[in-house]
Amino acid sequence: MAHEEREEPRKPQQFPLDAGSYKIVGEIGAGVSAVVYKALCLPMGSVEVAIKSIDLDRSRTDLDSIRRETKTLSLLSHPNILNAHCSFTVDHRLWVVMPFMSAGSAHSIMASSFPEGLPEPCIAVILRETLNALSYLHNQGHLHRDIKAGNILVDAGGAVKLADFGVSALIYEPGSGQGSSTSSSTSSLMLANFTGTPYWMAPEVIHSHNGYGFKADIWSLGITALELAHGRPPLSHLPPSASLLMKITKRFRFSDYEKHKKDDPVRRKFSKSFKDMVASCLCQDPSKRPTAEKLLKHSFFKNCKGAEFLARHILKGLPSVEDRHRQAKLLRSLSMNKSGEDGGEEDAESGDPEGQSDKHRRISGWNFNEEGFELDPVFPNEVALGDSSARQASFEGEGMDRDNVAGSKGPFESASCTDQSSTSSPAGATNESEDECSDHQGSVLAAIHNAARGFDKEVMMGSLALLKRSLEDELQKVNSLMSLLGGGGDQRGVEIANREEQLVQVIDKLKAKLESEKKKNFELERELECLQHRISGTGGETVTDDAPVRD
Amino acid sequence: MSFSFFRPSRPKTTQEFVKAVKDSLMALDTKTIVEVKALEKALEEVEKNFATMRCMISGDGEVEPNVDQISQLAFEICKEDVITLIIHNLHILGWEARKDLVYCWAILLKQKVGSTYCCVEYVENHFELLDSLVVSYDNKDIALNCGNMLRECIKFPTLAKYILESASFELFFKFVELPNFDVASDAFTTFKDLLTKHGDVVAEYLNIHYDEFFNLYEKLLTSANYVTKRQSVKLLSDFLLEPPNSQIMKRYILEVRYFKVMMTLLKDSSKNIQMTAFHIFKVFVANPNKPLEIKVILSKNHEKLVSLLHDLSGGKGADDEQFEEEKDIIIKEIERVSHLPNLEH
Repeated sequence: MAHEEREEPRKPQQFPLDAGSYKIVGEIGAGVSAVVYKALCLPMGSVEVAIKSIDLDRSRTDLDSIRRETKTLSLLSHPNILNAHCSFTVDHRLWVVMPFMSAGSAHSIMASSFPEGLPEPCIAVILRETLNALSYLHNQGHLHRDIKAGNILVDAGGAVKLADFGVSALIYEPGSGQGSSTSSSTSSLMLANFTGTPYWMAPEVIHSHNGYGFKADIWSLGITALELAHGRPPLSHLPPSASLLMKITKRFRFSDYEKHKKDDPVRRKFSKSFKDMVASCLCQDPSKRPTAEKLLKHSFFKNCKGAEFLARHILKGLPSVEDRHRQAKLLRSLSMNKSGEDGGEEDAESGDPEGQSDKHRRISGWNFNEEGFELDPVFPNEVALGDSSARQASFEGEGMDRDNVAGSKGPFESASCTDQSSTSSPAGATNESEDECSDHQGSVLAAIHNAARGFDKEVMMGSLALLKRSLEDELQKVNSLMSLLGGGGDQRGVEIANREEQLVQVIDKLKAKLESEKKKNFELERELECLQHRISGTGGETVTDDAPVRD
Repeated sequence: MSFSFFRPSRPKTTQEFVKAVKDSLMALDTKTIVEVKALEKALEEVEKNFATMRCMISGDGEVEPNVDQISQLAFEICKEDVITLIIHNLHILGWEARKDLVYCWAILLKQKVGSTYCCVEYVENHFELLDSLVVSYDNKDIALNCGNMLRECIKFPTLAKYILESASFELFFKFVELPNFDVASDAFTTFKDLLTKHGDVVAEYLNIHYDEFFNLYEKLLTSANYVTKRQSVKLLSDFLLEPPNSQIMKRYILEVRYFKVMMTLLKDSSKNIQMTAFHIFKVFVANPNKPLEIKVILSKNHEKLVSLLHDLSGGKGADDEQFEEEKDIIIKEIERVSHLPNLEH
């Protein structure tokens, strides 16, 4: 038929609707209420599929949202959108059978092989394919609302598909522990905000989305571009990750950031057109952001390569999704400061466990620095008074939602409450735990900033003391992880030994990283001393000598 | 690939356009269907026309839709019997054409021409079209499109009433259990709309077809399929407890047979099902005029029931408080009934 040129033929009935026709090969993703398997469809020549098995009884609400989401998906058809082959129930679980995307998500590819980000030509391919999907979605009146590297999947041939429409949420995420469920519940909430199915909404309703909704996806695409370029989402120090690995590798990013600010020569170079493209996506005013269709015509996508290019350049030597998932799971189980459900979140890929609210915060709190190709935080004392207290509230709220770990709230708090005026106090984030180190960074940054303006020395000292403590914590954790692995020789089988080997490598890397972090810490302390000198030199306000004792 | 494929050949008047739509649909006759090439060509033409129609209705981003034109369009497609042609050829149409069509359907149906909804009137005069749409749930390829069109129809009480009372309504009890989750759940959504959108229509239907309906409904409530069971208990509590259905509810809660069904659901392994079942079970128990048989059952099982209810707990917040309150009342009532002296037999 004529339309098949543009759209994939959809023959959901080809795939059998009974569990017996599928042979499960292994687990490739897991969340609270869903597990993703790699499986073979036996009657179809054992073709590989991914099956997302969702526990319907885990959701307390009625099944309407799940119904709506599967239907949304089955009314979409585009080569760059991951569709379900079919779905059926198996007792109280819903099985969604999907094409198996053997290379996994862009996030997982980076985590495994490109920790510093992907080469620019590869980013171009991934973004163009994602934009194709987005342009189609927007034309159909849909918003995706969760664009990120973790939702962009790649198959063995380098074909790129956008996933996660609620039901297919966060599949193939080796790191997606409970995080996936958080995210999928957010997205189903989002969908629930619509009255009726978006696709069928009246044109005038859709039209009203034009102004803002679609452009929110464009913003996310910009963030995703930065994520692909740097190997992590910008400002990933915001929501913390409980994954030990992720925590250690991602911690203290602000120091990288500081380095960047000083025009570190090691920094990667990106093309002008790439920067320009991202800048247009990250325009604060949604109406000034281009549409997906328009973005596709951006010069950045001229001479853009194809799927084979992607396959050749980034998929070689990649461990299988199964292995990546297994490794992530092992790491997770080793992570000893796992504190209940919240603590188990693996949202590193997104830096975005709070979903929309987080995005919103990004929009209001950060400016894109095209030169440095990063987002610059807007500090509380740089924004209007009312604004800053709002931001502070959001920090506080975040701290509260995210953990109940009493942890190390001590030093920072006591340091901060001495003479802080509440508006300029990033120390609002008092209920931080060790896990909340990310916020400390923000605080430290802000504190340094404040110091530069000649006050709040105590805050700064407190922050730095805290930073130091968390570094020591880190060291301790690495040590205990090592001893745990060292003493784990009598565990079962060769498989474990293999994993141990891998882990030892990981730990070596982490040690190196820790060393460099320590160095950075040292540098920071130096800088601090410098600043102190300056403060006392200029004879600024209240110089006190009773700064918190550093141990 | 260009998306402006329909621009060049846009006809001048709405009348001419509808004529062209009709001709393109007529071209999908049996002769063409045998000939692959001819069919492809005919389908392309139809697809092009529906894209144009969609564009007329919703504008193309630059040009705002013209209200007069839409109303004329609605009038013409009725006059030319295009609606019948559309529904009869739905299964041949391509994916894109069907989507455009469903989009237009929703708007045209709601389009008033003068003082009447002419498309709704047209369907009222051709009720068999609704049967065709219902039966199409059996065709996976077009099931979801038909479901959407049906739900648009159900928004109008006359059309909902027809479907409820038609022979095809019984098919829904089969469709909601189809193995394909997408289709089954879409059918359930339509089924739910039928039973909840127009209280008075539903009450009237249930009054007349009480036995027939609840007989079939019992099969859903006792289905082995988790989703069917869970959805149908929820739906039952949704419509049975609505004010217009109070007479039907009063009749329902006197039936020992349905009381037993609720007792079974209350013991279900799924907490979701238990919780929803409680909200119907409680009405049976709270009924001041419980039949003797129900009292006997309550009395015989009161220990098990009380301990089961004690174990049942809701979520958090205000809902939970209300639930706990209701639970206490129900437990007290069960205890009271169990101590009635005249239940011995």
